[in-house]
Amino acid sequence: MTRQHLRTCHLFIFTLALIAMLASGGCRKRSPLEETGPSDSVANAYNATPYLLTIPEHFPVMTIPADNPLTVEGVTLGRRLFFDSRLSEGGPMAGHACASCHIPQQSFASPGGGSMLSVLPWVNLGWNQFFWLWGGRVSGTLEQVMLFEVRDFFQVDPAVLAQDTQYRRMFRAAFGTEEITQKRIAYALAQFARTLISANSKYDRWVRGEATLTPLEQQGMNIFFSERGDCFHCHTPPLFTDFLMHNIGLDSLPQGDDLGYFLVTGDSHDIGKFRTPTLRNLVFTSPYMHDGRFATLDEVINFYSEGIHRVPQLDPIFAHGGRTTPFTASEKAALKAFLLTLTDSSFVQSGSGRSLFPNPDARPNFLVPNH
Amino acid sequence: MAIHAVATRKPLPPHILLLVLAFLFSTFSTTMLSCRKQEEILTEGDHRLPIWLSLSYHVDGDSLLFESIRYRNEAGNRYSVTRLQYYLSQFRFRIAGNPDKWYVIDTVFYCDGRRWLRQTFLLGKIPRFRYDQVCFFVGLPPEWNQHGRLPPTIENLQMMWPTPMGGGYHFLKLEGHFLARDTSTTPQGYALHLGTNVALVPICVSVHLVPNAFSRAYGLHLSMNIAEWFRNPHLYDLAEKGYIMGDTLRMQIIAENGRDVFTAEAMPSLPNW
Repeated sequence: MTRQHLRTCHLFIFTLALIAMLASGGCRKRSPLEETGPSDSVANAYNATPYLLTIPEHFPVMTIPADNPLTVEGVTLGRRLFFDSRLSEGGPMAGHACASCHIPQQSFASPGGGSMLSVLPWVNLGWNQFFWLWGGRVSGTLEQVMLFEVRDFFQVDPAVLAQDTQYRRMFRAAFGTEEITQKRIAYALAQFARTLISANSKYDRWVRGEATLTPLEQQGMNIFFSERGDCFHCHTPPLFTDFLMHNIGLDSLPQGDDLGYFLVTGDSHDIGKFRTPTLRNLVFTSPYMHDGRFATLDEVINFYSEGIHRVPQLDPIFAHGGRTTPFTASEKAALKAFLLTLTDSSFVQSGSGRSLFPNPDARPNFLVPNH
Repeated sequence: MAIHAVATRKPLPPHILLLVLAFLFSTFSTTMLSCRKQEEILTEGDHRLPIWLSLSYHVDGDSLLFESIRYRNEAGNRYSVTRLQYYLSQFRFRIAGNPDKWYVIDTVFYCDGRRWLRQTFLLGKIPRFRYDQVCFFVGLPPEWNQHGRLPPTIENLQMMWPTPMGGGYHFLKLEGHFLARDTSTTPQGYALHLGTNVALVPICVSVHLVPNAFSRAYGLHLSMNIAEWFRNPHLYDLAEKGYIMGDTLRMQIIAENGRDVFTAEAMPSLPNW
């Protein structure tokens, strides 16, 4: 084979290879990643460790926004922020941390007092896409309500936190930058809140086939899930809330804070509407309703049995007249027994809260402004 | 330099050269053949086009306004609507001129008239034909209406029909307030909830469906007339019973009324889709 032949052969091989490459590349379907090019999302801008959140089998899918993926560093930062009273320094809530009102031992809730609203629990918040706070002042995602808490409620000054070198390191680890902003604070809090999953009550264990309900609890469950009690339409399992606004007939003529969602929308149809609270961990979250008017579960059940006011805005589910007679004493006892099966003691004792609470036995001694 | 480098290399043995050539040729031909196969699927095979569905709501021609007791039904009730959630399922498309040939999209779609006053979504893809009738269900056929059958989204969980009452899912939640008669002053609530297999609402509508030449997609618009739930064939008086969950007879009455709630039209253009 002469040099000329060799050159020709090599040129032929090269040409053939080029054609093959072009042909295979030409008809290959491009992956979406290739089409969009390298991602410029925050998630890929640094090497934060993905946080593997375990969603209980009988729970719904949780939507986590693409711009705030769960990371170990983000959750750790959020947990520290949650317990840090410097968050409120210089603002109207000076001296308080999130944990001052969302007390871990009380299922991340706390009672109000006087004319002050009680505090809704931080339980299973990762599934809420609808309304937040008793009066529905914020709607949307967990990130949106945390932005409200940081910007409007606490009025956080990021410069205060920036004085702490450990915080700067933690923000870099979580978000790839030492720059502390209200948005990043809110996003870290949202990440921490997503990890607060309560799913180990007796009811949950019953769903998983690991526990047996007593006959009384079973009777209560049947009332809860039938026309007789009709609790399930708003307190929908497994979260036992629908995150929506309802008027349940608490007042015949609501005034002041009792006007509820009306104070947000100004629409008379929204008078007396409040966000459905979860029924999980009721044993830790007394007193009940937005203003804590009922001290015990018995009072709550009595209200639903014979205390509902037939106001024009009363939710249709209540106004239908399907249950024309009050609960009997045994029905009330059964309902209460079932409601207590929603108690998840392991949640309030879990490491996500108690072990990191600076002073677990401390009780807050202050009033919480309505929000 | 390059020529020099080639020239000074040790020449490849002829059998190696042949092997390399054979390998490259087989790679090339395989790749080209697979490309051709894809082309054939696109041009001659099962050529499907997307079909988009849009939904809107009205009461005898007036756009539905939630929370307002402004509508009147034939029984003399003045009523509002506060909630309208339902499932559409198992869309079936009849090929024009071929009454025995249907194309089925066996999927379930959750609809919420209040959350999305005009909801638009992709139904799926259907073969490229002309269609003259569309049938579907309000609700879920029995094979879908089983506890835990739908993905556990928040919406699906909120539509669950409690196991003590039969299990499965709500097909429809239509709720609101009403004044029983003109002289009434205090509104009452109604909650027309359909569920269990007896209350499935089969619907068939005539529509001339052809693909849009520009967007290469079908567009179908369904409009629900709320008033139809209360009339034809049964006059429904909310004052008699406004809450029907667990009342099989009344659920069947509402389900029969529901057969005419939708009208359909093809969307000649697909704005902003």
